[in-house]
Amino acid sequence: MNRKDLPIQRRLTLSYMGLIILIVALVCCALMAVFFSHIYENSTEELALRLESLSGKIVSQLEQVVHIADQLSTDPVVQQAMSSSSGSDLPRYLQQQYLQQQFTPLIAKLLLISSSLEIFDPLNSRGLYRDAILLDRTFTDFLSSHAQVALSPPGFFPIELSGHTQQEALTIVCYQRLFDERAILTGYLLAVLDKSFLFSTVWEQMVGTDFTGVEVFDHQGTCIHAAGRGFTPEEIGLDLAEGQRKRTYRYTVARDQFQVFIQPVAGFNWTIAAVVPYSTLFHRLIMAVLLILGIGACAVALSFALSAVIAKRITHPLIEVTDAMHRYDREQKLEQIEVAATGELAYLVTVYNRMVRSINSSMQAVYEEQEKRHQAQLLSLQYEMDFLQAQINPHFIHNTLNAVGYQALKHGDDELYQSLKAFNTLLRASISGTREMICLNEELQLVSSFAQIQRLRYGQSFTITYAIDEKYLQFEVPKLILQPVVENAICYGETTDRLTEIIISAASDSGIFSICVTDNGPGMDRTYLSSRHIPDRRKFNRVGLINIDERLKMLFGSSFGIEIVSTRGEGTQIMISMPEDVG
Amino acid sequence: MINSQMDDNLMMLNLSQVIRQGTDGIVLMSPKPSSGWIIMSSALSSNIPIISLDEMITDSSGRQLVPYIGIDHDLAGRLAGGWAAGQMRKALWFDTEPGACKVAVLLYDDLAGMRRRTRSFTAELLESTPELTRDDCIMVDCARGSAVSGLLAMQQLISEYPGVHRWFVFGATAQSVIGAVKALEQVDLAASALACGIDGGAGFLEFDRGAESPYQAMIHVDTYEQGYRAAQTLFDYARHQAIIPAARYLPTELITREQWKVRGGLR
Repeated sequence: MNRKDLPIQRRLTLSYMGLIILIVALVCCALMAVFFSHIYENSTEELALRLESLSGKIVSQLEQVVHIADQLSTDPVVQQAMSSSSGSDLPRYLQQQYLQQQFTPLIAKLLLISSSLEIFDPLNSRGLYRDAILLDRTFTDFLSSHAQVALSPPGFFPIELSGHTQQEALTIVCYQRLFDERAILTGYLLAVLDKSFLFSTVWEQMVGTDFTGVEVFDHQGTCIHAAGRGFTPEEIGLDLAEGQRKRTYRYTVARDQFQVFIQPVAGFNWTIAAVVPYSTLFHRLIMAVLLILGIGACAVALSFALSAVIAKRITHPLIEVTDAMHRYDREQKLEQIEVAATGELAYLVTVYNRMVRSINSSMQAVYEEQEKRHQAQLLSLQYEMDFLQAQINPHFIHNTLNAVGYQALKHGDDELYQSLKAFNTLLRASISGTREMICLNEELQLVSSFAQIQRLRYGQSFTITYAIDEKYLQFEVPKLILQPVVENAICYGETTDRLTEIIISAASDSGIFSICVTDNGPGMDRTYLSSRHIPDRRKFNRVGLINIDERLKMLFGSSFGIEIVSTRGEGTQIMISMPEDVG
Repeated sequence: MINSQMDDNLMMLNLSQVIRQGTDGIVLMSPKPSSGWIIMSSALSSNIPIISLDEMITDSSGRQLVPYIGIDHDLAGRLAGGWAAGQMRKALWFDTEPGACKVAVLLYDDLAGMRRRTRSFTAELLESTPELTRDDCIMVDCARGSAVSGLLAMQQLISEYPGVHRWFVFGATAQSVIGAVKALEQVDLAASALACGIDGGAGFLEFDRGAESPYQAMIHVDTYEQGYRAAQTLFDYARHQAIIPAARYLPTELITREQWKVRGGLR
């Protein structure tokens, strides 16, 4: 389906969707770009902190040993025993005062050696063990150095077993120099440390992290302790000779990339190294990326729902308008719509409803007009039928009147002849042809003929004055429109005491042509009378006037017709109005 | 999981913290008897179930205070003692060099269970081997039962008894026995020695190390089973209000190096 064929709501939703997806994609890309390095730095920083914490715990434990050495340096019992070389009770004293009272699982044994290398221990001062202690390379190196503290490689104090691995080793010996208050060397302290206890926190620190291997090296690169994946300093590019600095770097071992973390054990010449496969670290980044994408997807889904709702809300008025138009298209039914809308759509709906009302109103007017025309045609047909029905008799009467008129003229009765002639003229006008409209001049002649006939009855009791400008004589008026009016004026205006004066005048104003028939007859109460209120009185041709009014309204519309103004004792004025141009 | 490092004060601090945090249950691994009353009062006041593993918590009169899950320490000691007697007799120790063999018993008396192990071992051994006297069973303190303490303790014994060439080493923990084995190896006495310990798994590493090690047998404590049963018991209590049994003893068996090799590892 072509996109343009989709409903506007879907088009709008799809447009919103496209826009939102584009925005979300851009935001996600921007977020990933911004946070990628941030996450990487945070991850490495977190792992480095873990390693730093591990180093801190190891240092803390080793400092306990150093603290004991400090105490021993100022212990008068120890100083006395060492200076007098009578230290046979020292082991028991050390055991009671320092190992049992200051219980620390780290230190398994404390051994004092005088500055003259006399071992104050009944077990280790003899043969095999004595030689093992005094000839130990770490101890001899310590003696030749000026270091305050030295730590031995892992082993089995005091005698080393050949071929053991560092995992099997049980002890680490901490060598320390003892000084008196004058800073004179009084001897050496050998603290035998429980290696497994010293490094018991390594696994604890590894749990929950991505470290796959943690190792502790001494300054010579000897592995002191290893947990997890094993490696040598060379394998991870660690150069212990260049000094111990806290750092992290990426290194490739056998095509596998690792993030290496280096943490010195401050003050003890050890270095902790830990490795994290870069893939693991990258996996963490991937997780972060997936998280961002997940949030983005959720945002898109939410936006989709929102855009669908918003699009529906926006397009609802349009759809209602469209549906209304479809209904009009199918059923020719134009209806107003009721939709809650704001802004331009509210304007659109309002205008649409106004347009519908206007069209409906216009259509109603057209229907009414058509109905009126139809009624007029029906009436006209009725007239024609009546006329046809009556046409036979008028013609017969017309011929008969002509014959009678001829006889009157033959016998010299000119008055009768003129009356018959007038009647015949009037009769001919009423029955002749199908012309509906005639000139005002012709209509006035008919009025004149009618008046002549009426004189047979009323004699000279009335006069008719034609006060009409010549320019109106050619105006077309409906045929026989004046005759009933004049008839009323003559019949109703008849009085016994005075002459009835009938004035017929005409005027034109603003496209309306009006003919006014005024008489000075008895009139009626001072009332403004319309055709609907024409009184039904004796002599008053009410039906004739109503017919005139209806004819005018049918021909020219409801705004035209007759109006009657009458005042009792003064006369009556009947005004006939019609369009100036009726062509 | 909180490591109290066998420190009473640290354990009580940790215990008070988890009770304050509103934990649903507590499993204590090898608690010291000295903290029994405090633990008991904490459990009663907080209505939090506490299960003790590996070490039964009792009052001064020996009355059990907290539900226990673990091995029968007396049975473990007797099994080891019986096996030791049989091995020494089998190796003709009493026939070839009478008086040249000693039994090193590495004590870890801080824990009552450990004490019962070594005491029942000694009793069973002496009952089974009339050739041995109580003086031949040398009790040596092995603080914390660690490997280093075993190493140092055995060094002390070797130094004190230079004429003894055949040592049978028994310890309440496998770690201390392994340390003692290292001490024997230092002075080349390992080949003529025998050793047995009680542990949850460290001894198996020694089994795998090589045939020359005198570490020939171990009373196996199934620590996995211990933890599993403790967790299940607490779960049943929390979910179904199931009654926590006062004591649940796990199967106690002695595994020799040969059996270990035949078995091909842990079941």
